[in-house]
Amino acid sequence: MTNGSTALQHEVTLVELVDRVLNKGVTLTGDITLSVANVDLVYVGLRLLLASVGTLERLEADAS
Amino acid sequence: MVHLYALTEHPANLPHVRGIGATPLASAALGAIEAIFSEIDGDSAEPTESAILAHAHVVDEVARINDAVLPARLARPYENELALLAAVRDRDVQFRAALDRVRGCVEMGVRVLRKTNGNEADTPSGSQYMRSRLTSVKLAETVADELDEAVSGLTRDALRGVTGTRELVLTAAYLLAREDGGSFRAAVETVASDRPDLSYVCVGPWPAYSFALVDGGAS
Repeated sequence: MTNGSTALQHEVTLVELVDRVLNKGVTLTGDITLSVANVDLVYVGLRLLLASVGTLERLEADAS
Repeated sequence: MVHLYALTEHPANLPHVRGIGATPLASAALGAIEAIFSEIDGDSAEPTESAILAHAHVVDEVARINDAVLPARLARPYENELALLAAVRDRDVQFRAALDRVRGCVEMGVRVLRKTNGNEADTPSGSQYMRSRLTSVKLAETVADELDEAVSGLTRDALRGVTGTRELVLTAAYLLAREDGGSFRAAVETVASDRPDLSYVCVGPWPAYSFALVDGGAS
């Protein structure tokens, strides 16, 4: 993997993790959750993933 | 202030890691349930990257050495240990049922993406947009049904988020036995091979965050 796509993969992993920790998991009282401005974090992660796949394919095409 | 990382069964195995702000972990039992928490400064409960990573790391470690774990959401902290235990006591029966549901299990996710060629019109007319939305949502539901069927023998529970957007077709979460991760990935690959126009991405395994929601359903 290139440094660029590794960095993007890291970002995707982090976004997925943030989504789990802030939006999933048990809450004891239900009214005390924090949120990130109603952003669909998994969707943000997937946009990054698509960018990552696109970058990788372009680099492979350039190399061939 | 007291920050909760996870609920598990008594007697719990406490991992040798530190929590948010490098605070030491502690646990308190209430009947069959044990809460894993740490005493933190009020400010350190803010959802910073370091707090999120510390919280997730503790949950991962708790899940590694305990069989039934309900990961907690990173939420506002409790005033003290008594307030935390009072909140657990209020929903004791639901938590025990949820612990039974996730025992021995991990969560895996599947993200299904459309392979776009970049030539789609950016500003379709209203009727074109509605037709394309309808087609997208129908495709997403079909893809979700295919996926559910392919992994149904391996999974104990499933949650789907059918989005049907141009790029993202589907996000799904599955609850499965810890040892079935490899078979799950193989089943997803089989489904993916019949859909060359779509990309299937497996994520996880991780603790059962999506299935810890005692009220049921994904947020």
